[in-house]
Amino acid sequence: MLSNLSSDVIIVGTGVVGCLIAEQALDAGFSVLMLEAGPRVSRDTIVENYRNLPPRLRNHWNAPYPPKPWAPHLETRTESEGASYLDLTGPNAKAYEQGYVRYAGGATWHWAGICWRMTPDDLRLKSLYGVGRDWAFSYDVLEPYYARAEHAMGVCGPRDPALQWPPNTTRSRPYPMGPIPFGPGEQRLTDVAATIGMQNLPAPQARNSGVSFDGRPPCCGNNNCFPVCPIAAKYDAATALPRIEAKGGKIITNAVAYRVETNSQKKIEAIHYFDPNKTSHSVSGKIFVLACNGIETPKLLLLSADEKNPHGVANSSDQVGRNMMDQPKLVADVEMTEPLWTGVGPVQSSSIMNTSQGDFRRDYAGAMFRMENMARSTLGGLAALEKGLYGKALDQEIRRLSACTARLTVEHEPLPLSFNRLTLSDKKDWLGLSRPRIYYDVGDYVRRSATQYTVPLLKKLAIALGATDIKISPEFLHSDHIMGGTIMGNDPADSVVDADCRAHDHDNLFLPGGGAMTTGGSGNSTITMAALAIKAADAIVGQLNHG
Amino acid sequence: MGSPCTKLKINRRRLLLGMSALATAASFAQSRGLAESSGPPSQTDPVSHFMFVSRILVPHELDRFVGHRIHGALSDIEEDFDNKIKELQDLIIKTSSVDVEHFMPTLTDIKQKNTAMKIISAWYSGVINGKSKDHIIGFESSLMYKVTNDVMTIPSYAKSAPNGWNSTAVSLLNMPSF
Repeated sequence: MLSNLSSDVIIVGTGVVGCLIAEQALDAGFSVLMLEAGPRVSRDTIVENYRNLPPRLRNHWNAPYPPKPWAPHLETRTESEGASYLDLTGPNAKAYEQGYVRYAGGATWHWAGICWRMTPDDLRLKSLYGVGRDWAFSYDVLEPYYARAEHAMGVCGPRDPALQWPPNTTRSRPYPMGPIPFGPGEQRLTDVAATIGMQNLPAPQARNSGVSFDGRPPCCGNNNCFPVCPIAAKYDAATALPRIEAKGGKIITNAVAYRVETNSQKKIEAIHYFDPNKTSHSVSGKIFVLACNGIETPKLLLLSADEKNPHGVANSSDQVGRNMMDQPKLVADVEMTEPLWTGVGPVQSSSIMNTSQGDFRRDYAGAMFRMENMARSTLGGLAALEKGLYGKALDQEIRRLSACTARLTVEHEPLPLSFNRLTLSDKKDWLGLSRPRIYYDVGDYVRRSATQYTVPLLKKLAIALGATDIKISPEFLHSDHIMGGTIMGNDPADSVVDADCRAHDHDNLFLPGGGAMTTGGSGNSTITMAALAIKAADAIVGQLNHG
Repeated sequence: MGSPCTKLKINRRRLLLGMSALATAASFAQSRGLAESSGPPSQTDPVSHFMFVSRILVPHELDRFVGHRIHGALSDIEEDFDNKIKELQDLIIKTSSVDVEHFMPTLTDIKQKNTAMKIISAWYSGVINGKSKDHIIGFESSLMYKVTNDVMTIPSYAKSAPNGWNSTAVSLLNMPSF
């Protein structure tokens, strides 16, 4: 019987944020219990799921992760699948088709591993440019937590400060490993971009470079970081979970949290969850952490509305579920006469970041440019077969399409906009729980950037690469960086959590991760989520130590 | 017949294959190994017939185990598949075709051409798209990956040693032999 278990720290979610906090609390001597909505699946099962997909589905990141009925997540193989969980609306609904899996380990299974820090300016958009919000603290406060997160996850990166991001700033610790080498495609992009003032940087990435780290092997260029690294060279929580258990942590899988219970002192008393038999259980503790990503966390808070919390738990500000952010993405599929040869090394290993900063941010969004570095042999093979070729002509066309095509992407920094809002849908899931409904409009700040800045620059970059054909996506797409729904701030009237990710309304409830991010920046969000998790963990341990 | 230029470029294995195709089936039935690699096989072994046709349609080394899987899947999907293979085999012999470039233009029947293209597609993509489901034949055995395997790894398989790659771009003309 699992009902009424108790622990010092209750954590909902087993992704990077939950795992970092769990380990820190255990190391400090506190008991930890984690709830995971989905199943625990072995790496080899996911790899085999991937290899047994028909080739046309191998670029669907979620296809190797079939969800359990009680823990649905977005699936994209068909349109009907795509509409079966997230209830998306608004002018840019497609740009919020967020990818995450509800498995033990969460989105760490299929994340790209890229770890761009935010810059000092990224945290002061309101002060510097009069847009968005300022964070509750400066970059100097966040920097040590970035460094701890980089060491906790094993982030490799360049030693030259001019090639680091943000460039030429003081770092409290160097990266634990040196950079991963470029393949021919990324080197060519770097060389070409430099001719038009764009600096392609080697990405800091949570991938072991040349050496083993933290019990995981070095990257061997399997070029399959998403949907799954087959050898665990990339950080994922699957390697953290056994360590958490070895330290005494308890993990309950297939446990779908559906209600956060508060008491008359506005403290969290318990988390209630359903098992796959739709039987309800509860767990109690001293500190509660909701770390089930930027969609599931606000959904759970809103689901928990009751007489004491009529608008949902932690929602006296009415900001829970508002300010939903991601970097709206445009892609350019390009064809060249000369071979570029992407696909050597990790699927992402570099980005152009200097395009994300500047005074222009008063008027429109900054952006990150990059090139997908995935092997294009599957796409090339299928496209050549579609042409009805055979024999030598078929081989030559597969080789040409694999080598002489590429996908460039531009990801725009979002602003926190209160109308981009997650609410509870009237559509229910398998357990009878409301599905998340999300209204999404990328906003004029991003649209102006695309028109005046990024699309012209994207074309310029493609032409510099020798593109003879450029096809730009007709609408904004998602980057799978879910941010903003439990926004951080110093003022309880217009934010959900404080500088430690503690809910303003409930002092034993922490909501760390992407939801807490005040602005999004242009880079991938995970390292900032991890830094916030470690900062929250310090506060949690401090709070437990001082009663 | 192929052009003189084509003839000069064909390798020894395919020259032997073409010569064998000119002989009668009976003369090859004595040896199963010879029949599989060099000419029309025994009528009692449908996979061997399939492999004979495949070796004309696909100019690469072909794995009989993979061929067995492709034959099985296409037999499930395609009505009277073994007879279609027999027709293709007879045409290969009749037209003295030594390679796919020579053989495909001789296929005037669209159904026969479709069957040939399905076989080629299965070897290259590792999948056969059925009406109700996809039949997965293989992953790393898919020939489309071998066309670029001098540069790109088969996704999810290791390319080399840790950090064992570099930024050298190779020529499109350096087609791997496989």
